Amino acid sequence: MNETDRIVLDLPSRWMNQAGTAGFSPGNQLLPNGSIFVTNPVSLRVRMPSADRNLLPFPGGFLLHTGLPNAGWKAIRRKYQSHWHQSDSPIWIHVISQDLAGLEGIVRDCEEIDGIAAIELGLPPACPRDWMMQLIQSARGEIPLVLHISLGEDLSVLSSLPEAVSAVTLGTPRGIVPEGENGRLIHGRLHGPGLFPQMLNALQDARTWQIPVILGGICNQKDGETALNNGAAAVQIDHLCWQGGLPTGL
Amino acid sequence: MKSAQCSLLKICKNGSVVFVELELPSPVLTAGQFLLARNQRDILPAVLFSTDKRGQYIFPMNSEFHWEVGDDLLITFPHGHGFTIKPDMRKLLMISQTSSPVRLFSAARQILENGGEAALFSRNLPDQVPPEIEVLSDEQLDEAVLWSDAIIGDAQLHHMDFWQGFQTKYQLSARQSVQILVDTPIACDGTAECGVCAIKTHAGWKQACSDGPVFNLRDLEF
Ligand code: FES
Repeated sequence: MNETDRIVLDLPSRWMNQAGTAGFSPGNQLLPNGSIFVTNPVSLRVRMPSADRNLLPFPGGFLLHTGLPNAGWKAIRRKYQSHWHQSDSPIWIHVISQDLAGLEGIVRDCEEIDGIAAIELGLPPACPRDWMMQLIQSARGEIPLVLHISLGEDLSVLSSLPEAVSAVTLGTPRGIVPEGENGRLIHGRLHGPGLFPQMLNALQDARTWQIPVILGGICNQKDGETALNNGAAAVQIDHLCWQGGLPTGL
Repeated sequence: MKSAQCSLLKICKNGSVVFVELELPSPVLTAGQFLLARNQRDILPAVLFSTDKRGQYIFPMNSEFHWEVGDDLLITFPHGHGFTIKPDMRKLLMISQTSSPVRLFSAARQILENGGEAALFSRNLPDQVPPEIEVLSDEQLDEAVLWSDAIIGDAQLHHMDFWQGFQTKYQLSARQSVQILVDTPIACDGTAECGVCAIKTHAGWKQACSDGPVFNLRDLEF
């Protein structure tokens, strides 16, 4: 595959938030003007909070397990469409649908909404290559498609991606942390600056993929700049968004 | 919401519970509200609740304590909705189902200062309970429920069994309000709608970080 066959992803800013860190509306002023806004994960139907939702710290970071609750695409579109339309930030919708027809419907809807600049498709854990290809097929359309895969997944599924994919986001890995004194094991997404060496290592390996790579899990400006100077097309900022917004100089 | 830089003046440990004193114009919280505090090394802020002592806050019991006296903390406050203490509340019963009841004491202080009375039922009593608060045994609980005109309590998110049948068991009258401070993890403080603090109510899912952490028992769905 020649890289020039891909739909070109417009990156007016090389800094953006990571899905799940800034909600569904860019109106909360957490990001500097003009940076890309990535929505929380959106599913076709409503998703409830996980019964064992939790936040568990570990040295260098924390595990967050929420079940990715959201009101479902239709309700989210109704509530936030005007925010996306009015925003100065290009909007990326992070979609986690496992329903092929539903996914296609979301993408068609997004093509009709002003302000939406890309779809970021979150791959489920342990996604086999043939299922990934079907998801990509359903999510392809007129707006660029960014594939989101977590570190720790089998990254070989990404070899020779179809031209429908404009870029890949490398997200932080999932992990397990024992809970308090009872030691119950909680699974979830890992976050924190302690993961950066692994993320940087994966970024180096991704050079062979012949596709722009966006590196997630960035927890400070220095790590973001390091990633950008070492091959990342753009970076996604993690929980730093929760600490009163990002530095405006990005 | 306000933010400020403040100094950590004092640390006192009481069993497994850690209290900190902050250099802050007080009071900055009402009972049941919380502030978020972090020093430069912290990845996430700590959730601090006030106690009945001015300027004193309780550090989260399940977190590793690593602050030192003199640390500069960045704090934001006030967060959440606390207990509603009405002037006509005279007989307060506190029922604690967590490892320390002290977060309830600032509500008791208000009632005591208004000339009311306060009683406490807890399996995890701190070394010092203010002398004006009557400590109850298991046998005294039923009677105290009938005596009280307001009940406040606390519980951990995944351990709500005690409260589940409380309302039916005690046939509470309409004038008896029961408010529960629900302990949930707090990650984004609502900015990301992350849902880790989600609480199920009869009006749908609510976020403890912004809609709570104090909820009316009648509103909770178990
Ligand atoms: S802590 Fe994230 S929504 Fe409450």
